[in-house]
Amino acid sequence: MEKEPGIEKIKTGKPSWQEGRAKTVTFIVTEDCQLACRYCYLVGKNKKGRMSLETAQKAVDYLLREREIFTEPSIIWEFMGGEPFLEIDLIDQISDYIKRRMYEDDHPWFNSYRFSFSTNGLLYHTTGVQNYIEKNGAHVSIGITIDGTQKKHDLQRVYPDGRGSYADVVKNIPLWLEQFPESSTKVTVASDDIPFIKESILHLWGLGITQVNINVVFEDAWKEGDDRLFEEQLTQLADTMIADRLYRDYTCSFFQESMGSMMDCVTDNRNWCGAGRMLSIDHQGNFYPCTRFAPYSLQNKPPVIVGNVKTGLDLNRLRPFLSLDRITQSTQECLDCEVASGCAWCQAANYDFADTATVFQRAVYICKMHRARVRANNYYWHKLNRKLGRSGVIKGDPS
Amino acid sequence: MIKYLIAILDKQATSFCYYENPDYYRPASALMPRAELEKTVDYAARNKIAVNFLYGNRRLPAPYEDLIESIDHVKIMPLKLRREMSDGIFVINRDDRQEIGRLEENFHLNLILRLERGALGELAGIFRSLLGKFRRLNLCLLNMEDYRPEDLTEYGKQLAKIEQYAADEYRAGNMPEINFISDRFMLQNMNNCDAGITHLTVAPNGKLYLCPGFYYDNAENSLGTWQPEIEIKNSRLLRLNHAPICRNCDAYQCKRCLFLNQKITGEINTPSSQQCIASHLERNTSGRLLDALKPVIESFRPYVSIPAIPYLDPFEIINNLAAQEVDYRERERSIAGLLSKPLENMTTKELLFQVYRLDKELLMQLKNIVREE
Repeated sequence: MEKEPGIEKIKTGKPSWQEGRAKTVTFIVTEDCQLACRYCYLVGKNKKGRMSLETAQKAVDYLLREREIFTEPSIIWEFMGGEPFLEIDLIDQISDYIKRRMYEDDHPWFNSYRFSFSTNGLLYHTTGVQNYIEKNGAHVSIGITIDGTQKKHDLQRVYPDGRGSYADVVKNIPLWLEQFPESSTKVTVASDDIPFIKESILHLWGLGITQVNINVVFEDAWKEGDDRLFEEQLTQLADTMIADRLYRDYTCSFFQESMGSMMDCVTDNRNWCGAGRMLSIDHQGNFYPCTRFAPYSLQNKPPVIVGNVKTGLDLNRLRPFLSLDRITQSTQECLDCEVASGCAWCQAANYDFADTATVFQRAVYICKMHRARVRANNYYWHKLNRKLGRSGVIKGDPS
Repeated sequence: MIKYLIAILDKQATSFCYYENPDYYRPASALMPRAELEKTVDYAARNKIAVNFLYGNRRLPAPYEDLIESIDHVKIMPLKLRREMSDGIFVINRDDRQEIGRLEENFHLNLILRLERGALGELAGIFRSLLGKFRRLNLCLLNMEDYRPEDLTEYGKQLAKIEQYAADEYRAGNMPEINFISDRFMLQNMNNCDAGITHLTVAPNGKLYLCPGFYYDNAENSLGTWQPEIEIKNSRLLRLNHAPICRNCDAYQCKRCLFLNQKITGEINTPSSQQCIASHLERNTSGRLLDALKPVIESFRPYVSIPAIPYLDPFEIINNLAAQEVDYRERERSIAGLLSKPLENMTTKELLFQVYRLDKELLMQLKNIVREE
């Protein structure tokens, strides 16, 4: 998707499949992973939590049977871990079962489905994974997480013995991009990573990953001065993008033209997070509003279970998620914020950090980082628009 | 602002609401220690608030009664104590229902009928047998978490019968208050329980709770003990404007029970579908009854009709609009249309005058909106 301002184009991010109208159902096939990433929110990873084929089949049967509940026109069957490719044989069996059952039921999803993966990429080249990709062809979507330069990546994404995983991942990137040319990667930034942001994004683009989706961690993990450093990194990145005209071929989600405006409490009252509209299933057959509400992902609170494969969805437990809006969970400071748009939250992180067991209390640890991002974002678009002779958007005061 | 306390005098005190007391039918009694009762009464006196005392199945020792009489209060007790005590609100539990036939005609009595799910089919019959024996009747439907669609259908049928019985009673000139039918006649805004906002509960252990339900569910739910400032974490979630489903609802008679909300949906500000549907069945019954009684009602108070609406669960409206990505202005317009129903008949001049009286700033803001549009 590209716009044509005058003679030069600006590359924009690829829209999500089916423009976000697909149901996402996540199978947590394993709670195990080869890595022990330092920023990972999966605090309870273990080798015991492995989904059985029988549990997955029950979930599939339920989802296909309840057409009045699951009315979305398309479906994304997502496989998650831990590291999902540790269980590629199981995933292959589940996928075969899904295809067969959708066909037998003459289900509308048979004509509109995807198998989606977020992986650390370590097993990407293996026979099992490659056979799976070949077998399921265009229905497969895979995202490999690589955090940037070796220095940045190995700072966080390490094996349990502390070794970095960069070298084992990067060797699989060419094959991945050959098979999925328009792929994007998801980068997470914690406090220690800030000095490496600019070089990491440039590095990822250099590897051929043209779309970099990036976010800062939502935890209370930011130090005094991190926001200034962050802004400095993004400003440097902006300068390089503009000087080298990288905006024509690459995107970084930190820069969004529509971001950083005041939000109207009536017309901009939508919830940020899709928890509850998606569904996650673990090895016990329990349903969660998203994977981050499962036990292995929460530090301070009990899991939020919204049903299971035997009794089905508890629709009452979903009501809070489906009625959540921005104003009900936000602080007054957030509602009055002049640069509120684009400020993200994770519903499960909110819940985990809240004073009571509620999803209606927004965590605001990223406030200073968002403001820094808005300042750099304003700088980028101001400079780019001047260069290209485009008219910009006047936004709020991020100070 | 806290206006009253609910004091559970006995661990086996009767429930008077949706929650269950698992100790109610147990034989041994465990009274609130007298020292705790003294603290409760003292707190009430110092803060100029009243106390609702919840009794168990037996009379209290005289020193307790003396303390209770020393403060503004309401006594809530099982119907079986009516033979011994006359000044209270009486709760009809499962084991009290055989007493109903023995109740004499009385137009001053305040009754609470707690009806378990299994007895739902008897509701209209029980109601009929109670007519003429109360001034006010509160109905509490129990086991709401177990209600299935067929139970709600049954509730609708029972309400249809009750509507006829009540209509006859009102036409006969008797004007009993019936929480699930007549409260909505008078209301133009939500009249919720407001636990944690207008009242707190003190349990026999001397600790404070949002309401008795939270105590009986788990004594660890305590808000703490007596403090000059009692802190309720996330107290904003107790308020109507922080309840996305309820703030757009006009089933004003609904108690919006925080305890049931927490129990069934996991959030104190989110009602279950059962709660919403039951409340809307009541609301619609009120609407029909009000229309049928128009001549009777109009004779003693202004008459404001309850409009017909095409849903029983406001969540469906919110969720469908969100799923369909309906324009927010359209969505707000439709919700505002519902909430402003009784105001529609006012002249613009009168309406603006009322806005002026409420908040002069609002008038200025309205002018700005006109300019922008």
